[in-house]
Amino acid sequence: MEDLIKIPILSFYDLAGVATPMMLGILALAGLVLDSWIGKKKPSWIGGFSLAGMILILAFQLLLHIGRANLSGDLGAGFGGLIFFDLFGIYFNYLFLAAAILVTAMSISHLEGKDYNRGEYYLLILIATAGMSLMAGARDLIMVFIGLETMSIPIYALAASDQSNPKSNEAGLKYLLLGGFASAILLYGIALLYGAAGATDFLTLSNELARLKMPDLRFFFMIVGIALVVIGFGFKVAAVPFHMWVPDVYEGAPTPITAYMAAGVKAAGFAVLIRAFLYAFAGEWLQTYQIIWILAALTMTVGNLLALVQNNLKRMLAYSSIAHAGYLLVGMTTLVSSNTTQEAFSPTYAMMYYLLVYSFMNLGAFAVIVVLGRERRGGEMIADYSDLSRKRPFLAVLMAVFMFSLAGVPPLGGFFGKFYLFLGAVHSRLYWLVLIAVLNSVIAAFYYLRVVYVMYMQKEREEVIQPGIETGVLINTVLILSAAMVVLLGLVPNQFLDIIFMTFRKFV
Amino acid sequence: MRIGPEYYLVLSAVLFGIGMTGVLVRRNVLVILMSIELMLNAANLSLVTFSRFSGDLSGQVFALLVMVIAACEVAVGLAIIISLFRNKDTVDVDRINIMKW
Repeated sequence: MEDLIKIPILSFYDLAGVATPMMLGILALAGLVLDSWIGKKKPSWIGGFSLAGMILILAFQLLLHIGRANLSGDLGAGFGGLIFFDLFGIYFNYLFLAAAILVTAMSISHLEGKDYNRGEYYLLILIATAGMSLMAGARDLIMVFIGLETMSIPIYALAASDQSNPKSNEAGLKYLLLGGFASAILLYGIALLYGAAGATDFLTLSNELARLKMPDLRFFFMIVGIALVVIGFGFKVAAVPFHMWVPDVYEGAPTPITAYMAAGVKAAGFAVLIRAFLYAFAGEWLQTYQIIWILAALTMTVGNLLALVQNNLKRMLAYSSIAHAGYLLVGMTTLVSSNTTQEAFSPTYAMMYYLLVYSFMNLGAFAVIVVLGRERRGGEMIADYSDLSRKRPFLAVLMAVFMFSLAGVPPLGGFFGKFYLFLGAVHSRLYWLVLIAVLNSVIAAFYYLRVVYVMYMQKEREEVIQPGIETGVLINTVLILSAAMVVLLGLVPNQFLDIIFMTFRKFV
Repeated sequence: MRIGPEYYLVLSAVLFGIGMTGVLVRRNVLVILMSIELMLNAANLSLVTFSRFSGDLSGQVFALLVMVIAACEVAVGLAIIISLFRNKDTVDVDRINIMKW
């Protein structure tokens, strides 16, 4: 009972760890008040408000970053040991905020004149971002679960937000049922790990788990627990065989939300997996690496093969997102199979870089779909893109950049992302896995380049452009920013990697 | 007779199994949602058991947090089911198939 009475006083560092999610939450509450005021008449003002707020929070990350970089010692744990205040978390906060800003800007354009243009939509994006930020900083399985649900529940609602469209309803429902199922599996896994180790924070877990031996019942709890946690996150990051929901949800959800799922949810899932395998399951690396090897190979192959036969661009990008989860799992395999913490860092850098590039190229590709969706009916079928190079040359060039980058053509960001991931795997002697990954990249090039072929080579039968709709300034900014990031990340990968390395100098 | 942790853990595993079977076998959306709740509560029972028998309170606190989260999930879930029912007049997952399931 002694421990109960000793309530620690919150220090500045404790609060710094949760500053970002807290500010996002306050912004969402303030937006709710504003929404009851002007939301009925001018819902896009709420979008503008949340956009401005998030840009300020992004600028505040810079302060946190400088502040953290100047700290020394083990001030990593804050908020009663629930959260890490470290540069790894801040790096992912940059990523989530950038993605959320681009998605909000895209949404303001996308929702214009639609019947589900409501203030809550933008506020749910804020809350989901707060959840992602908590996940990336989590130092305790409790925080992992709370962050995961804070992220997922608003996204279930967002996927179903186009209430009059049965496809969107269906997407929301499928995401909710399979996401809830995955969360329940994850929670049971966490409960078993708690039983095995007697604690839920990562550092105690790794110490306790390393001590367990074969005949002990708690060893059995640990193995089943880790397996269930991996399955739970397999659902979230869309790894095969837990991918069934991905194509339907991506196709049915409003396009900006699909972009957010591809960029944000996946990055958050991998941030937790990286942390969990670097800290919590530290002693058990070698036993799980074959499982992740198989997951990676399956995920890449199934994702790419099914993407080949799709005619709907959103559905194709959904399968491509499964395939990219597979490439990232190659990095995960490298991380898990490495013997020392130092060795595990290099695949971690590669995955962080890849997640950044992947977010921008996906956001850009989905922004192109949003533009076409505004100007023509649809914009979702690949056939809608025929002859785009003549009608909208600039848009076609941008789309080509995103497609080339997704396919991994040098000198764009996507190429270096894959290069670093596969190089790490070669260093760890995972030759067969790298062979499968490279073959998959070849298959993938086919369906990405098909979009470029349709845009540049195919003549359109009839004009279906709806007159009188201008491309908004916001959506153009989103397109240009994403393309600039994809090109910059490819031209000067070293500078970005240096930033990531600096992030890591004080990671431990 | 002293009731040890194994009774609770077996009960929890059985509840989890029933919930999982429900999700995979039943076709009514509401029943699937209830089965998911059953799985979450099975995990809660494990958490409380481990917490009670190891004397560490964090598991009990975690179970409370899980209950709150489960309530949020059900609220959003029912809202989505209502908006689907308005459009399609059904709660049968086999008939919710505009895109292939």
